[in-house]
Amino acid sequence: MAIISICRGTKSGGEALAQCLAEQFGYPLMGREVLQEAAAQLGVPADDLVEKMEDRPRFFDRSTTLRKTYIAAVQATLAEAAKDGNLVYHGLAGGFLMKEAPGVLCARLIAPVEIRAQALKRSHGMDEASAFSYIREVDEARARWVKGMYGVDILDPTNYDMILNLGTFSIPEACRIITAAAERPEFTVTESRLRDLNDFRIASQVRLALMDDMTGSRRDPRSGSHAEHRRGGKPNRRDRELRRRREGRRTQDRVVRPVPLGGSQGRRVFRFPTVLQRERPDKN
Amino acid sequence: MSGGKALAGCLADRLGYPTLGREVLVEAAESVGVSEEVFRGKFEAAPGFWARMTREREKYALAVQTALAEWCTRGNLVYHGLSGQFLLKELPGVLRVRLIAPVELRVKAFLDSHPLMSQGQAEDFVRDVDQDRLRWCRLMYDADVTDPSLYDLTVNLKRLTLESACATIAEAVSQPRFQITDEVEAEIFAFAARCRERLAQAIGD
Repeated sequence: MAIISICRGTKSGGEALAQCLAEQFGYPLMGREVLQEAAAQLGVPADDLVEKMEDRPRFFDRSTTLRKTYIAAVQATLAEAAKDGNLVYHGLAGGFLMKEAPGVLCARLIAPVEIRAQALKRSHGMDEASAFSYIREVDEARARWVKGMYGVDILDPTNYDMILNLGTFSIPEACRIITAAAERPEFTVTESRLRDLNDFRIASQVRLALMDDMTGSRRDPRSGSHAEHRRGGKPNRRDRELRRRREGRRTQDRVVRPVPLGGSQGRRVFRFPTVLQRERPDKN
Repeated sequence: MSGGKALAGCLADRLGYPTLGREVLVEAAESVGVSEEVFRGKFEAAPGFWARMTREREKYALAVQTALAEWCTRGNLVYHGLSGQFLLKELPGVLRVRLIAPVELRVKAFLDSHPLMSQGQAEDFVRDVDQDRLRWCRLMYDADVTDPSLYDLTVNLKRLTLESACATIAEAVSQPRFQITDEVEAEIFAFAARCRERLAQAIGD
């Protein structure tokens, strides 16, 4: 038994490699569907969760707690899937989400941008310039997201157990190499590690419950009311924000820029807008 | 101090290949007719702020490349010396591996082999070596030595033991693309001939 997390850029062959590994070991495979499961658990639209999971946190992001709740939900979903000690995960930030889990083999795939652009052209019919630009944007967004959420550089090799270059290796070759590593004692799930994985699962659930209580994101199964009502207090901004999202309404996060107020002798005075968010009308 | 030599030894035992490290510099020094000390001083030393890629340094790099290419013509090899990823760039059938390890682990390894040093001195030494290597590779090959795209495989000893890293690399090198076929052997000989020619020209100049 082992848990393998594949970290990769878009169109780097991560999904195919993860499939190969899952077949090789007979393990369940999990990718972006972890986001859907986490959204269902929270009772919010999957699109909202995906957006918050992939969108870079801004300096004046008032939805930080909401974002953390979403991440806690994804982590709890992942911890649940990994509780038996056999899983191949190829979704977002596996190495960071499962950092506290024992014995997770974290492999990163890299591939020359030309190969990735070719794959994108084939799958989406893009022209070359658009494919290159799309890859660059997605890579940058992911790097910013990881930096913003975990304070680390996604490209830093020390964050991974191994990095395979798919400019050299084919998918079956990479699959054999990762298999050889996953079979080593460092990554074999023993009885003791199974207990640690269970602890990780419980800790993730507790973290989610605490975050959830702060944001009031889930309905009370008995009364159908929301957490903020259970608390008996007045719904705060986070409560209202989550409820809007659960009900399919959106709030627009406005980009906040300092407003120049003038000044003299090369010195400029700025002030920040005080209203950071504004309601966007319902789509329907 | 990342365990490269020990890993090379493990791979050599497992695969039955000879190993080659910094001793390649001895052969390279002989080929350009200088002592090993002079060679090391001029070739290995990290360039200063104003240093440029001098002809002499270029000649020495060619000498190392030629000595290494000669070793490759003799068959399988585990090389754990300086800048193998650049020196053997033109060759097929070469698995380029980068080994990384947490600074704490490297400092500890250094302290084990140099017990008279203090923790602070060991940390400074490891940091200086890293900086020197970065500068050296930037000057010689205009590349960032830490860039994973320069390698086929990067292995982190943070959690992987040396034996596990060895087993993983052995699996990688057992893939058909790294086997020395007749075709690959011909390319190795042609590469060695090109290196000799370039070195002879550099010495003649």
